Amino acid sequence: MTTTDVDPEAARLRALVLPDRVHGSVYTDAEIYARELERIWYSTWVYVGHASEVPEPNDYVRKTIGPQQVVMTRDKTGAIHVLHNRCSHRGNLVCDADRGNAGSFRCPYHGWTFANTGDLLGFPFNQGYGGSAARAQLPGLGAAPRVESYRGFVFASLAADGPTLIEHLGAAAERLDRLCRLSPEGEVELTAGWVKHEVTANWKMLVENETDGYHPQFVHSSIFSISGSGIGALYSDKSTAVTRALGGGHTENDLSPEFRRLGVPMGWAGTPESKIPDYVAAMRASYGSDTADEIMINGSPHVMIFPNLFVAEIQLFQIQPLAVDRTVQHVTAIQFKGAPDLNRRLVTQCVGSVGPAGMLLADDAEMYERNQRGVAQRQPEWLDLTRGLHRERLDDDGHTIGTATDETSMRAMWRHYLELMETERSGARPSEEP
Amino acid sequence: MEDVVANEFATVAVSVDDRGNSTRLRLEDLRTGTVRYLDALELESIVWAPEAWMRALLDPSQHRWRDADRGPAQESLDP
Ligand code: FES
Ligand SMILES: [Fe+2]
Repeated sequence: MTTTDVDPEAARLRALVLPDRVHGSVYTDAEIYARELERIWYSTWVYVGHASEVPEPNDYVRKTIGPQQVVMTRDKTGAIHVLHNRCSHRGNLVCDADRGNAGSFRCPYHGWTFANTGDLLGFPFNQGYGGSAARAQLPGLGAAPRVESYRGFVFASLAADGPTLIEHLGAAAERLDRLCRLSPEGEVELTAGWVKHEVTANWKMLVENETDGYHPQFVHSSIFSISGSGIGALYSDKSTAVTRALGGGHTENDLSPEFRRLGVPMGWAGTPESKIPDYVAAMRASYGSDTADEIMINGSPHVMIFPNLFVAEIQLFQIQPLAVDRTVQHVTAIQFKGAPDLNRRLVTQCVGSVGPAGMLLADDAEMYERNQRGVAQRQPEWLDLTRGLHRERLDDDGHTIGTATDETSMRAMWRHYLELMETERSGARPSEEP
Repeated sequence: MEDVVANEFATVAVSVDDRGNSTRLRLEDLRTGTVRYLDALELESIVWAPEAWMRALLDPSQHRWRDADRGPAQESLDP
């Protein structure tokens, strides 16, 4: 990684992102946003979709990498591709439906037709190109140069080189393992459908908030009180939960110390065993009683995988910036393979928290939009990041941790952000290939 | 719902499969168990295919009884 001092934009950013505060303009400046697209969204690994969304050969779903529209396809051999949704003739959008099953895509403008691998199959009236053999010389659909998946989570990078996905995920990979272990079959499925929730706020407001343990007691007090949820208490000064920087800008609120203190299988989900007997039995049959109970006591992760995948115990958010002050959250209820009784409850819970009339997401959205309007005001210019700085320490794995309400996660996110943003862009241009 | 299209030469089960992200036609050669799926754009293309294309397709040496040195008759596409 090389940094350059001749890059005035990098020098400006270093003055705006400090270890204990950030300048308000990082949320509002269109030039900074443009650089984020290049240095972060179109360079690093970005979560695109889950393999369970394209279960059958020739299935496809429309997905996003920031403002870029892509199509995630499973070809007839089972391989997954991430293609730009842009016809190689004159640039029309090729796919319009959110999902479908098709071995090939036909552009609606002039009929150029592409395989779901991106290859150009043909076009109308081929004499205009000197015959159908011309298709070997003409480009197909653009493809993400790198696509890799971990436990069914499909990520793409629009840069031809860089760290591997597993290097990028680092310690966050184990959090996805922890999530998958909650399925008796070791797999999650994202089949519950999506809510798309747009806010007029910068994407980093969302990333920071996802592991901000300081706000839940205030912002979410009404849903906690009417639902009788004990979650609020986990984010208090007395809580043994920790906020952890996992490296690579990934962060988590690790509530498992509190769940272990509670010591009740599925206590983390607020669901007594008696309500989900089939699930509990299937878990014990798969893992053995002791391990199953340990898994069900420890619960699900609350992890923000930089820059756009947030797993919040029972729901999954995909963050998509559209503009410096516009962001979409794509939200779904996580479903565990082999757990129909649990899954039904999870969908109901998610409808209440993040559905169209859900209260948790609405609470946070209100804060994002107020915050975006707030940082546009002139004074004071800085946002404070010092909470818990004096009590940060290293855990046994060498990760920086703070208490449940400390801003350890934000400071770690910004450190990583600055590293990406000041890096010279070497070999990180989107693929020149057709 | 599965229907069977049959004559003295061939017997093919036909059904609309909805396990994928949109519907597709499932065809099964009941004499061999070989299955092929056709999506809507493939079906439309067949509807519009010229007779010469269909005549070529009916040449047994093009697929099932293809000379071995020309490669497999049908790639394995086990869904
Ligand atoms: S733009 Fe797609 S065929 Fe012309
Ligand atoms: Fe929140």
